Amino acid sequence: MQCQTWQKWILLQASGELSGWRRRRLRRHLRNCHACRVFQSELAAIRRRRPTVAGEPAPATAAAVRACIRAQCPDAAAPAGAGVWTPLRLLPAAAALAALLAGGWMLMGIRSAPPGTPAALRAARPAAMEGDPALDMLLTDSVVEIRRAADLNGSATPLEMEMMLLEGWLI
Amino acid sequence: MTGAGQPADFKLIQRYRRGDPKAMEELVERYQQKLFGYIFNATRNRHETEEIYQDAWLRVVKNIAHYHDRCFSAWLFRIARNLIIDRRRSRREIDSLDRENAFGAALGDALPDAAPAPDARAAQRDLHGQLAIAVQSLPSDQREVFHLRMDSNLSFKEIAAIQGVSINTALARMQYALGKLRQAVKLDG
Repeated sequence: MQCQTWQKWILLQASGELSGWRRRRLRRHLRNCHACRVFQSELAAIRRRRPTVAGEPAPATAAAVRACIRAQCPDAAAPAGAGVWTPLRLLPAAAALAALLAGGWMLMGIRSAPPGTPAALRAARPAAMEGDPALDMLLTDSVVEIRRAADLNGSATPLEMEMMLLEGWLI
Repeated sequence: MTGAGQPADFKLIQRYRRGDPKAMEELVERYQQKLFGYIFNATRNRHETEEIYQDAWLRVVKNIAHYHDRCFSAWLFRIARNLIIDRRRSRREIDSLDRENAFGAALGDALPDAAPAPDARAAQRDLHGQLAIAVQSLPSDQREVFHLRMDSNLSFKEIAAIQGVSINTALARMQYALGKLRQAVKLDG
């Protein structure tokens, strides 16, 4: 390996991005390579002597940022707890979904698609929404969006996703 | 980017999305100096820095609902970077309109890439100043990597994401930058 590559490893080590076995290999190389040792010490010297910037926004700017954060906060304008996702809020939707799914199962005998998939939601939607391609697209997009949100929350199950979507329909 | 005992960035974002403004304020505090320093290093203008800094956070909170990236710091700095680029572009347009009144100055003279400030001669007296001048004379992509790494303390992975290049390219830019700084300034370790 050339010194240029070793020096990239030195940079990665300094930023805490070098894995354990690479760190050990680099240490061994440094014992034998004067050029890389010089590079490492110069890197440290530049870090110590680099020009520093007085980096703080003015109080007025900081206050403006704070005001903007509060104004744009998703639920800042709504009554306390109104926008917060809680299982309690989904209870009416859950009951409606359960009734709808139970009815669907009784009529169809079997459930044709696994929960949380566009096909399952398509099957569970109200009859008035059938045959509308735009709604179909919206449905697929909604599933993707809800899944993404569920991934971020790390909590929603496919059934909860259906409930969230159905809540949207009912509203 | 998260210190020991501190909640991760995405946890704070989740809390903000659920209606807790203090979570975002904590995030602002976490990145305040790094972001402000980064913008100032790019603009070298305090007033402009304040404006861009404020705009960057405004964009963050406005787009927080659509934020799905894994790395918040890279997203935040990319927003700031885009705002800086937009400013430079609009300034270039103004400069091109005013070119005849610019006493023959080159188009890029007003940009941060230009020659060091008038106090350069005084700064040259010490190593610190020499290094400052040498950093300012680096090509913008190398200078950006240098500041993001040395001042904002971002990882090369984050820097690569901000610049939209591979980690290898970000590392190479840092190597070139360090090589030039070593040539420009005599370091005794």
